[in-house]
Amino acid sequence: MTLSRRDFLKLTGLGMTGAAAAMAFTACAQDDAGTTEGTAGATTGAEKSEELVQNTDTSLVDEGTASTEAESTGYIRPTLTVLQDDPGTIPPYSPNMNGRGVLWSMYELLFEQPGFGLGMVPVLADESKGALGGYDHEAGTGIYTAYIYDYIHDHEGNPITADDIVFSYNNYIEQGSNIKKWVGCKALDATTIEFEFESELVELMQLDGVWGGCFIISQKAWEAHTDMLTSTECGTGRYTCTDFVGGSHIVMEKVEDYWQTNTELIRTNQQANVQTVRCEFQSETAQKVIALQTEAVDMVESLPTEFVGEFLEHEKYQVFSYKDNLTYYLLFNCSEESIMNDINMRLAICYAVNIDGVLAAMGDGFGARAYYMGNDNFGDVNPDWVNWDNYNTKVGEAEAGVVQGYLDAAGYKGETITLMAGTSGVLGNVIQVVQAQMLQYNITIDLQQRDGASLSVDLAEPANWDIYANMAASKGLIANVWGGNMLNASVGKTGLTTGFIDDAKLTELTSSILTYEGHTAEKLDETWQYIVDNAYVIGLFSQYNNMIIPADMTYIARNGKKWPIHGACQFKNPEA
Amino acid sequence: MWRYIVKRLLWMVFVFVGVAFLIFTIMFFCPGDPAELILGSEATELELEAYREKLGLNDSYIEQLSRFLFDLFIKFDFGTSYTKHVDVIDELLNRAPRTITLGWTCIILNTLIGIPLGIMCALHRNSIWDRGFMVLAMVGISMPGFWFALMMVILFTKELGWLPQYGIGTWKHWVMPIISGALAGIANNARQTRSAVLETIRADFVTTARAKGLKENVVVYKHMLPNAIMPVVGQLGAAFGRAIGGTVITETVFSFPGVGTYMTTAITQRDYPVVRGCVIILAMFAAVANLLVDIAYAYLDPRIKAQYVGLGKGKK
Repeated sequence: MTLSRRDFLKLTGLGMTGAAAAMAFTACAQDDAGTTEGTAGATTGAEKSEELVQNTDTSLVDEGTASTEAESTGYIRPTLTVLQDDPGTIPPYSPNMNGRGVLWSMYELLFEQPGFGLGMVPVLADESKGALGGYDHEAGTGIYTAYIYDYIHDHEGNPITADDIVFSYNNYIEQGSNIKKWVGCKALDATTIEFEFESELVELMQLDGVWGGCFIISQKAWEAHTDMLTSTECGTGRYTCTDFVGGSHIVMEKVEDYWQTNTELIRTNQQANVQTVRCEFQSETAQKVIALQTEAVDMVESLPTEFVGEFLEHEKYQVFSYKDNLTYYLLFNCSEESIMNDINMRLAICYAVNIDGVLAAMGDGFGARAYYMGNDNFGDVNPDWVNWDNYNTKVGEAEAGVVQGYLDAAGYKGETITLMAGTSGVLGNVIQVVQAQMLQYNITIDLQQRDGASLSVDLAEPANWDIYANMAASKGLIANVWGGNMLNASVGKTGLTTGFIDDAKLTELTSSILTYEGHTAEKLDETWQYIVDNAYVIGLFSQYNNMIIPADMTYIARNGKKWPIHGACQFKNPEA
Repeated sequence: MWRYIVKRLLWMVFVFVGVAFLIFTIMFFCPGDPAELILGSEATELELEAYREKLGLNDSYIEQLSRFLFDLFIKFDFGTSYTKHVDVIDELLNRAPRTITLGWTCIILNTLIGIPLGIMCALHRNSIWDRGFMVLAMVGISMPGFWFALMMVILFTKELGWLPQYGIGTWKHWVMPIISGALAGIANNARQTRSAVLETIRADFVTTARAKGLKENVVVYKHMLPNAIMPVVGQLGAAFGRAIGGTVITETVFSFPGVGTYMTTAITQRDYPVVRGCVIILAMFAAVANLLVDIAYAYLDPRIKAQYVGLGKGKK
């Protein structure tokens, strides 16, 4: 049989198509295999890392208060290459923006918050002066007096005096930062600064926020740098910036003439255990994975759980997973314009949501289920809340009867409920799962996602939404999480809560737990029970953050936001 | 010809004013309060009000627009970023050269590779080369840019170790961003050029040229190509806009600090001065690219050249 040219071409085309299909299927099969392996590994990673989290947090607390240089391994790693988010610019104000963790290596604060609600550790403040370890305060007044060392200098040799502290705070406010009750500050002498507030700072963590929020710079350096220190640097920290390109990288070198020469006063986070830190800015997960696979970098600050599996038993890396301080939650719109104004409707949703189901849909090892609005990162959590008998502790039980009962009590007739969320991928997945779960009870959910700016506009309009999916955080205590404008009507620009809750008792409770006087275990219990009874909010889960760190790293130094301070991390001496 | 160029330059002024007006108006009416985004949700209404006043956001639309246009066109001041606290023009001067270089290099590659490839395929239509390149062109157009970029990283960085994975510094850092940025354009140009040449091959004037006994080279290069190339040249200006738009993905994947990523971040943060600055700078370069294309068009198309030459003579 002979083939015509046309038949030959047809056959060749068919053959090529078949080969392409076979290759595609093979690739898919390999992909699946890889994913399964990765996920399984990730689960193990999260479980393993839980212990590490506890250990590290404990050591952070212990060493963060008064560690010395001698306690470090003494080994200086030549270089550390890190992949992290892009800070855009590196100004010594707005330090909490994404990617700005590098600022903690170059600039310093009067006091630093070493962890969640753990108090303040003096940095530039001289802890030998003042009755309160670096500062004085006369009860009942809004006057706080801080003392600094008299030998501080920045990277260009400019001495840091009380006048520079005053300048730094004024500049901090000038650049758009807020300090509640702020009146002003003035230098009393070269090392003493008086801070004045409208009244005594009775709210939890308020003073910590003031002294732990503003990086100190010298006025001389500020005036000498015409770029407002947005792309150059002149701080007092252990590292100085030698090269910075926004969107690309920053290189930091260890400062050899660091101002603090008394090694007994150098805390863990002030140590310099790396000679050169190079941070490259990369947000693409695939690029991060390839960089790790090629061993081009030493550390990746954040990697989704499904990709950590292959680095668990890696020769060069170890995985460090920790539960971050963000809790995902559903908040209900209690205004009269929303169907969720009815407590029975809110309870129906609370019972209908299967949190374990949500977490399962997000993937193994993705996060830890919430039993309340927050997680056990916070020092003021009552561990017993996990066992409290409320809708939030029900796990995988058939709640159909209960849900239907509440729906009937609310008179629900299939009205569409608007579930609003921001544009993050995680939130997008969460609301889709919740929508699917609600369908089992014939509850119709309409999903709406908005970017940050549009979201705040829509949320301010009570008719626009019924349930709001979001995440809440605090670097203080769980009381701060509840006391945000999510539940506390005393803050926020409109005097209302985000959920339009008009409840004097809730306001009284959440305001009370935010003060030193009212922040008691009993009051916290009462507040949480009240929130549960009224179904104002339901906590869903806290996400695990996975850091890939070098195998020789023995300690991860982190600031109050849990961001790593690269140069202060400790490493095994390869020659030891 | 000079009249044509001067006329086009004058039009560009109107284009810039129009772009400035449009981008200001669009951003003005976008939902979202920059003060709230900067100060956070815990800021009180008093603090927000004071910050809006500081940024000049409390003024009327007309006042803000006038101030913006005055600053832009009289003082050449693009403003200061709300979030980064840095002069927009400084940041743009820092970033724009990279994006423009990337965009222009892509355009040059599109032209230098895509057009000859299209011509070759058309002249040897239905040959194995023609079929092969057109399949590749189809693949090039269909492939998502970020996927192709990552495949290149896997091949050239992970497997072969020839090129750096991302970042800036040496010429090697430019190779993968340029290839990934240019691929779709090359494929598109090749297909368009092939179609245009095939249209021309069947034209009467080509048949006439051949009937006159002209050599095939003369028929192709003197009669066929100048006519076939016109539509391809005409879309090069628009291709520049597409290339610049495409750099957002390239810049993100390769950590390439250009205007694209700067602008997209600014849009989500409602950083009005940055968005306006980026749009105007990109519009400026797109306008210049279009001007160059139009000049080339006028040079290549005798009808346009004759129109202006004739007008000039007439006036004399």
